[in-house]
Amino acid sequence: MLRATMRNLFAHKVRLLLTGLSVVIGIGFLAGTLVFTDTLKSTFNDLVGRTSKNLSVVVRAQSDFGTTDIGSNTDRKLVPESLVAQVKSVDGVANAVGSIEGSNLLVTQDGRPVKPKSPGPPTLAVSWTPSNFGTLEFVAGHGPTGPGQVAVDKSAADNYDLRVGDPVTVQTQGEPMKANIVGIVTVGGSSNLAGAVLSVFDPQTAQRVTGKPGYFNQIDVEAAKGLSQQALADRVAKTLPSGYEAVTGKAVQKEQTDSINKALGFFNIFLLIFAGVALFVGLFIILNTFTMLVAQRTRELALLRAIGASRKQVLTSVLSESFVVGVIASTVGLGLGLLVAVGVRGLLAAFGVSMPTGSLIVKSHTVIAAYIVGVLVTVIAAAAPALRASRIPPVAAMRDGVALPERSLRVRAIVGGVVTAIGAALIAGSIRGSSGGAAARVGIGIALVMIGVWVMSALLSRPVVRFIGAPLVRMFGTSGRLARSNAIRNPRRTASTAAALMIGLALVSMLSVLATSTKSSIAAVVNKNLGADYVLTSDSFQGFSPDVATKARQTPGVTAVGETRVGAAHLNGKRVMLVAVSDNIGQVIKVDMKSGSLDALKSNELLVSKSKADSNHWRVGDSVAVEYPTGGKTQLRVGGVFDDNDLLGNGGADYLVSLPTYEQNYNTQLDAIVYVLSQPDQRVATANALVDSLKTYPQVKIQSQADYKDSISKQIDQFVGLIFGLLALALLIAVLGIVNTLALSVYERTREIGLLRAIGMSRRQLRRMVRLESVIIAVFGAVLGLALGALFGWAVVSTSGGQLNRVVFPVAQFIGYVIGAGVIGVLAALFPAWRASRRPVLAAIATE
Amino acid sequence: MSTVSTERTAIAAARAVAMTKVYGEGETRVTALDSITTGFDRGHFSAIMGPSGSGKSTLMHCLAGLDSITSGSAFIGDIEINRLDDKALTRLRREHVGFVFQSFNLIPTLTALENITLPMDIAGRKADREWLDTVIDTVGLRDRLGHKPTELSGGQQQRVACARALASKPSIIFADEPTGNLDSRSGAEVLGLLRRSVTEMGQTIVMVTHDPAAASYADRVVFLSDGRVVDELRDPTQSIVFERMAKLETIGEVL
Repeated sequence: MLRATMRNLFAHKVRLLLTGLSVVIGIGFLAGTLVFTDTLKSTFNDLVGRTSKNLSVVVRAQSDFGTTDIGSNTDRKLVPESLVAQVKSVDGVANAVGSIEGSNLLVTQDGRPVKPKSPGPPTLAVSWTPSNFGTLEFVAGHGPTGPGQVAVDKSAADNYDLRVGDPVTVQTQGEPMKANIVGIVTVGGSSNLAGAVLSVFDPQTAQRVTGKPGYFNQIDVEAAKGLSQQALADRVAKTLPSGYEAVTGKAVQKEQTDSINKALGFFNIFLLIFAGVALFVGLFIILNTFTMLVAQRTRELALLRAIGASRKQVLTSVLSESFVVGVIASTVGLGLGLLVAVGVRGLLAAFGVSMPTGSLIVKSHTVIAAYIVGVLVTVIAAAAPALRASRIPPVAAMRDGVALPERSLRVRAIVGGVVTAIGAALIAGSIRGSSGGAAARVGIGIALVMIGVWVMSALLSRPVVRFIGAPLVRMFGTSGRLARSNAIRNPRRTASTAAALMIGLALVSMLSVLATSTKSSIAAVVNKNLGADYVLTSDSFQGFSPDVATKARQTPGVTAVGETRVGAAHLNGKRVMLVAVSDNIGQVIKVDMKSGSLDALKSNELLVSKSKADSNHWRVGDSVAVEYPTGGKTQLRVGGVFDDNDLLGNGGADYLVSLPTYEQNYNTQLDAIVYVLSQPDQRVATANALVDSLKTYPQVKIQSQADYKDSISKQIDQFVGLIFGLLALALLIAVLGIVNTLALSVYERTREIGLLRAIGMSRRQLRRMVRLESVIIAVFGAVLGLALGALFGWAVVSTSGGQLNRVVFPVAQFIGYVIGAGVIGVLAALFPAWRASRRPVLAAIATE
Repeated sequence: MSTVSTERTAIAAARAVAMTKVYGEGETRVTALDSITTGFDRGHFSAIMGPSGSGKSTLMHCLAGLDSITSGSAFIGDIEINRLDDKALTRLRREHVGFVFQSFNLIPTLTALENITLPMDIAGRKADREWLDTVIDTVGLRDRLGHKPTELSGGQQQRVACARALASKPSIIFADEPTGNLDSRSGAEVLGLLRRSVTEMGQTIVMVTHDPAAASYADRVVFLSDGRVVDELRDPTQSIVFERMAKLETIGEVL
């Protein structure tokens, strides 16, 4: 029995290939993701290890603010310079060096900001002394030893053609500073630090650049030979004033690797979601293929039953076939995964993230996950067809053309209808409520509607296909008519083939609705609430020196300048983003006060958005406990409640504090966005004057209201583009599904095709018939997908709350998707149509 | 000889000249048709008979342009079909040839009427309404036109196939064991229908069969054995055909 299964499997290599391909792609992506993130983890952890080789103990301010939040170390309270000498004098300390880091920006002589190749990684200023801990290696020139000297990392030097001796401008938290490049460095053997741009200064200059004269972030301590890290840490700790701690190098390393792993973990999950979507879509393809294979082999299986095979043996036979397909596909997918990982690494390199070229890390969990998921998906998909195969009566072997008993679609109608109705009710019930529970209910509702519609889709195929096919029949006559009737011949098959495309396009069109709605909402918010004439932003996520605001204030024609800064804090123990605004914020952004007044900022009070005030049950006059990363703990009085405002803090700020509050509690003073108000009749002149006075800040963009809206749209488009790229995988599998179904249908209809050819159908007409069937199936999937996507998009936007509640359907894009689906249909039909047209005419007459 | 052959040419709807068909290579080489020269007259009902493996189906396939020939020539009317490419052959089948097969004769997704007009639809021609009515009445299926093939009996399906072949007024209809899958009553109905279409409508039909009863409806029977024409009979009766066949089969066994 098993031998028969294997023979059957390998006799049909093309079939095996088509069936397995959808699993291969899904597993390839899954394995690729795992291999890539494992490799990244190992690379980064390796880097952390190498850069802190001689680091025995770190002295720093205590903070119970989360240490795994990346960057929080630089946000800690600072260490005074005087402490370095004190630590150095502790017995057992071989060396102690104060180190500081912060953000800054180098500008080349010809005015180009030295930025990372892709936005994301920061531009960092770090301190260096000759007795540094082996982190930095100079590949050209020497280390910076005084003011006006700076070293840059090798990537940046290569990208911007910087050489030792070149003059650059260094942007600091105060006035820009002139410097010359004295050295070029590598970091732990890599030409940059995970894509960041590094500029290296001597400690005093670094303090000036980062705006912390007299202070360090931490003191790096090296132990005398033979002394353990823990022993030294204990010794040092005893000498420290309260509020400071001595931590072993190992512990710091662990904090760093933990935070890297946590960030990569999110990245991993993000990618795995798309692998999941691809595999889910693949499930339908496999289900479909096995159903068709069983139908084709009805007589063969019945013969096996007739000569004595039990039901269980037939069931096992089909299941083991799927098992073997799963194993083979997983193996190939694993191989593909390695290629994917290499490809992603190349892609990251193209985005400027330099990594030491280590070998790819294939952990056992990758292999295990690939096989388990691949085999499970295949076997689960084949379970239903296998069960049907086992129910074939032996007598089917004797009869000609016995079709498997088709269960009525009524069960599907009822089940699908009920599930859809429950889902729709959940969605409808949650609309216009914006609490977390509503979002979850909408999510469940969406999943239910999707499943319900899939179950019913076989039923929907007849009317929808008739409708879609109508123009094709009119345009292409007989080929069109035959194509349409072929498409509704087996509603289940058409439906599950189209389901793959339906799911893919439902997600794509939902995102499109979200994106257009968000863009439109933001445009409306900007129009309504933005009072400023010009918005100053930097193109990286990093802020820029408050000197920009100062210069703007001094520019002729400018009547008001509003500043905003952003930082993390704990409010009543919960981590939130605080947005600090200058107290004239009302002049540049319309803030609608529900209670209290904006003037509360002047007395350094807290302003809270209406939705957060409601959910926290806070009212004006309440006192809120706040804790800053620098360790400061105080109470803030709620001075006002404002209507939710998506403009504040670039995308919705819920907690506003004054600039003085921020300055007291954060190490780094960089503006995120600066708003400029011009004299109404001198806007153009003001803009020109602004360009002139901000010449030293080439990274700062001066945007009019229209530019600002455009740039937000562009950001949204970029993000959506990325997700579309990842969803393309699911769409590719959907195309394979159509190819698969058509190829098997063509094979099934060999005699029919022979007959058509015999009575005068040309090869061209035949190809057109197959192509049109493919187009109909694809467009059917697309129409269902778009309908669902539109509904989901509407539901999500409606429940998202805030000011982003304008639902806009991108009609032109939707039309584009339908046309795209048609093109997909044509492409998917290329191979099957060619096969069909090559089938011998005689096949119709040959009586098997 | 030359006069006879020109006369033949003038009236033959299809003919084979030194037609040879060889399958396979070397050890497995089989000569299915061995230099056959024969013709089928216009307005006649001809039958091709022979024991299984005699090449009767191959002869029909080659004459109808469904299969290629190894050497010699095959003509439909004046057209030497073995020189045509696929496109031209398709057009030839569309315009000049009708088919009735043993089984799987109809497209399951189309109704009886749609099946009948299918060749014209494929060719993009309008059906001759009047002629179509005549054909439908001749096959006696007026009340079944809207039915799908699965809703028709075997005999009815085969009559629809005959109607489809007749409706486009082809120069010649090839019928391959048209009664092979039918019970004797339905078979007789179909054969009567074919006979009438020759007598009353002047249609030309070439039918392959192994059933002497079916052959007795024809005007002329050509007997094949081992890829050669071995005998010929005009106005056959069932018993004479049976006799000749029995003889052929015995020879086959002796050989």
